[in-house]
Amino acid sequence: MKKIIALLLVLCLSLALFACGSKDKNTPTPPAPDTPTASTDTGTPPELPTDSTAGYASDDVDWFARDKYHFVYAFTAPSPLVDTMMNAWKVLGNVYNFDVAESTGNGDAEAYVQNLEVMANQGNVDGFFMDCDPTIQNRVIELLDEFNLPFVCMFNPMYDSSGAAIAPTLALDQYQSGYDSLQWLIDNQKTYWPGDVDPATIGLLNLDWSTSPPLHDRCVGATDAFKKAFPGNTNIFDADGVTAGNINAEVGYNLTSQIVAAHTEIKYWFADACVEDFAQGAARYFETLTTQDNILLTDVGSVMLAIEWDSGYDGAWKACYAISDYAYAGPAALGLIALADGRATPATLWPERRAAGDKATIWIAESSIVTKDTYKEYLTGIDKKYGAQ
Amino acid sequence: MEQQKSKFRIGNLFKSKMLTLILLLAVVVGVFTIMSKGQLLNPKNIRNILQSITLVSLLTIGAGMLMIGGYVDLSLGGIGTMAALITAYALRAGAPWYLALIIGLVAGAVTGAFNAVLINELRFQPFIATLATASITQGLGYIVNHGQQIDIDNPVFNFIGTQRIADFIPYSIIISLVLLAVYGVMLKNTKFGRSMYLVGGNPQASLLSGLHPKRVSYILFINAGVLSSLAGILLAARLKTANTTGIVNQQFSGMTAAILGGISFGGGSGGMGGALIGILILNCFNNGMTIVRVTPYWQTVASGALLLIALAIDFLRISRTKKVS
Amino acid sequence: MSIIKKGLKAKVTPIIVVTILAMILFQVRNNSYLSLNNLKNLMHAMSFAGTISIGIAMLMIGGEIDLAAGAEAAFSGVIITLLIERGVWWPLAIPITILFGMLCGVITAIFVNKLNFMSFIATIGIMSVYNGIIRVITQSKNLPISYQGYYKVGSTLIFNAIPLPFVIMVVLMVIYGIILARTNFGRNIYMIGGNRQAARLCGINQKKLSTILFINNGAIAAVAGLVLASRMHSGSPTAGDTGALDAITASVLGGVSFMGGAGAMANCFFGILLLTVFNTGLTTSGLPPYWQIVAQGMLLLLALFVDFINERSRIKNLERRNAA
Repeated sequence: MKKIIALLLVLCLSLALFACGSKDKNTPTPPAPDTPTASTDTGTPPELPTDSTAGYASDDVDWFARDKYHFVYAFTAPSPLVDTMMNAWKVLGNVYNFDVAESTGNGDAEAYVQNLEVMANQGNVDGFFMDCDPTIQNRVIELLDEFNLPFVCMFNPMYDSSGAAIAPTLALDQYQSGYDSLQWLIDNQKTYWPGDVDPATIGLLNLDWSTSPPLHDRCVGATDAFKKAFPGNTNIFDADGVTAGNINAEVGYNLTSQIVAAHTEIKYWFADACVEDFAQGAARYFETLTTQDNILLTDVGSVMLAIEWDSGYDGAWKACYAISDYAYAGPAALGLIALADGRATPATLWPERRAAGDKATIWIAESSIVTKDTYKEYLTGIDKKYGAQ
Repeated sequence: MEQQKSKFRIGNLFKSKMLTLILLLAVVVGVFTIMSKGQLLNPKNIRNILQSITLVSLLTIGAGMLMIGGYVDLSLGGIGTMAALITAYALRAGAPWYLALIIGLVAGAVTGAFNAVLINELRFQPFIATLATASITQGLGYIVNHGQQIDIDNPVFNFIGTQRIADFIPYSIIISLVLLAVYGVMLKNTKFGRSMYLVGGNPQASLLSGLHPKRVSYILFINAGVLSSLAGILLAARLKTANTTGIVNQQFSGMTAAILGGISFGGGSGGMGGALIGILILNCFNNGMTIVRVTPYWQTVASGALLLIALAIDFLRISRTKKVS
Repeated sequence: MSIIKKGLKAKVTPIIVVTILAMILFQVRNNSYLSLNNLKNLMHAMSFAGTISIGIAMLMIGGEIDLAAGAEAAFSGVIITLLIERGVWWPLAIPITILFGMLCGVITAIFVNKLNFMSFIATIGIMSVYNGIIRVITQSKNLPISYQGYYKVGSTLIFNAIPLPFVIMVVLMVIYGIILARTNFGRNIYMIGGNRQAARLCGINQKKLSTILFINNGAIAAVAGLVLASRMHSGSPTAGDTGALDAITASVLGGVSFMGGAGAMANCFFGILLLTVFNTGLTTSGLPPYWQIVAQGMLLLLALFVDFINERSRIKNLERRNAA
């Protein structure tokens, strides 16, 4: 019995060590005796920019003239999106001389804030990529001010009380992404449906996750697109995954099947999913229907659909809003480097892309709707444009 | 005579248990200090560790007391989250801070009493009953503000939640340490405290000795409800917002820390001193993993493994004392 | 006592009545509720959690629990995806996956029986470990199954109407129902759950039995997982996150209790049926999500309350009969 315990303990310890050893060894330097911003002190202070070219790949800067920057990506919970970002930054890091470590709360807000502080207090962090739960933004902004470290937001902008964005962000316009994805289906319905479809038999299915404002906004956008194209059409059905408690394909399947089967009066369906998992489940359900040709499904996010297309899928899931990792990772990294170098401040970074009223720039990453025929070319093209090797 | 004998045995247990725990803490701290090249003991990091134990300790006290009494409660996370939302709502509606705080704590107490009713009057299994309560409190939390968060902008709450003495010791930790001390003393040195061990360890015997297991049960559940509410409210104060996930994910940490600290799941043994060490072990472990940059996935694995190790140590201790007696 | 009278007195009867009432209510609101299409959906929706509930119910009757069952199912789904995508012939991949599930059961059994951990807390730890591992393996992605031949398992319709996953669940329920009700083995399971001391005195090896139950649970979870993987065409790390809790809820709803009682498998079936019917109704009702969550909690309480009433009246009847 004792042997088993000893074995377990050894196993667990070696597990922990193995987990550390298998990552890129990031030997933390002992903390500098003075302020946390000591890391930007690279000898000769760079001159502040007088033009707006800071934060681009074309910056006339020798990336290797300084020490390697150590950035931290602080995200709420692990996901395939996080992994693709980290992979993109791994590649870009070799080009622009930086590396990225992870900090998360695994879904728990307290742990997120905790770990953020732990990382910042290490003394060897040069900047943050922030992806923070919008509900705890106020506190996180305070902390970031305390740390006095530069940061760029990923996907979710941070606003102050007047609604102005306060930090450079690589964003996805959630509302617009939902709107555009559905609009594309509406514009292209003739490709898939016969010429004269009775509008009264057309319906919209929203696969929603209402407790997350960014995700929910995607469905709101899709609904508005539908309402605009079919004024007066009340066949709008919202299926909320929150009560099922989980974001996975089976929930998507069940929600879709329940709504579609309950409304046989709808002959032609538009469907949009706020997350890829729901769309995958919905696609599985639609495959079981004889009327699959009368259904058009879209979603925001291209990781899963690309995999499906690679496997030869050709069903109701016709298109999606492509999220290319490099289109986000590239500019974000360049922006953060510029901030860390001191070549720009949040107020002066990317001024040509700033929206009126904002104090910092929200860079809406380049994106497009992709279909089975266009996705490969588009995604590889976009990735290369933003630094993929 | 009987009392003296049992005291002696508990004392013995206690001594060897504490030693094992402190040893384990030393191992965890030592291993991570080495792996992080001293970062773990960096003063700023110690400050972080102190901050991280404030909330979990409250949950640990509540869950730990319940476990000593032989119960399990899965609704503590939901209670804390709901109470935080209720308090935030009251604040927003203009209530003074102490009133809002009391309302939140009362909500927790009522829910705790609800659990006790389910388990004592209706005789549901604690596991199932508290599961149902968890669902209900989660739902009620949603109803408070339609699933949206409520920001807290009250100076008193902000102060307690975020400020520190000498920029080092968070004020909120004082609350936790004081409560740990109070409960620890109560468990070991008052008649009520000692009777809890008996109720948990041997309910039949306790009934025969004239104790009231039912009353003890009510007190324990209400107590856990109030402590969880306090934890949830403190979290909301710290994050400056009450949201619907709140303290839900922390409740298993509370139980893990209690088990790590030597509170047996079978009921009847353990104490707050051990629980404090357990909390420290858990938090140093989590903190260490973050500093050493273990990937989140492996952190999940390691947390589960830590729980299993805690149980293993518990098992070792029990089998060792069995041999002694 | 005639079968009808026995049936009326059964614990599960109120649940069946509520379910039928609910279905009628939904049919009235929406004509296509009881259509073949929707019934197919119901059967699909029941199959995952329902299959898991079989193994869990057996454990609960025997006085244990396994909260890691959902993670084990998801793990099995990932395993079979990996096997098939590497070219393993799928009829061979299935038993390999089931063996894997049994291995998970062995691991749990070691913790609970050899090391005397409480099953509840040990399986929480094990669940964390498995969840972390499958996310590492899959990098948090849903691994696709591109081999179309395997899709059959999830999508075949028996008699062109009943989904195979549902049939698998029902067949397993019948088999285990018979085992529980009519074999010595089944009776022993009730004994170790109801009164461990007495069981030991009767010479029943509680630990051996408990180990068998855990291994059995692992195998059943594996079946649930691999069938789901076929339905979704992917091995997903998140597939089982709510599986264990749903299965426990379904079992308890149906009346399976730690204390024992007859008709366990029928209880499971009606429990999962009611749960699914209820959730379907909630989804199509248009109620705001938070009300739905409260409703779910209340349903569980209602079931427990009905259970309590039943128990009390049964004890009262016994007392009355003894006094007479």
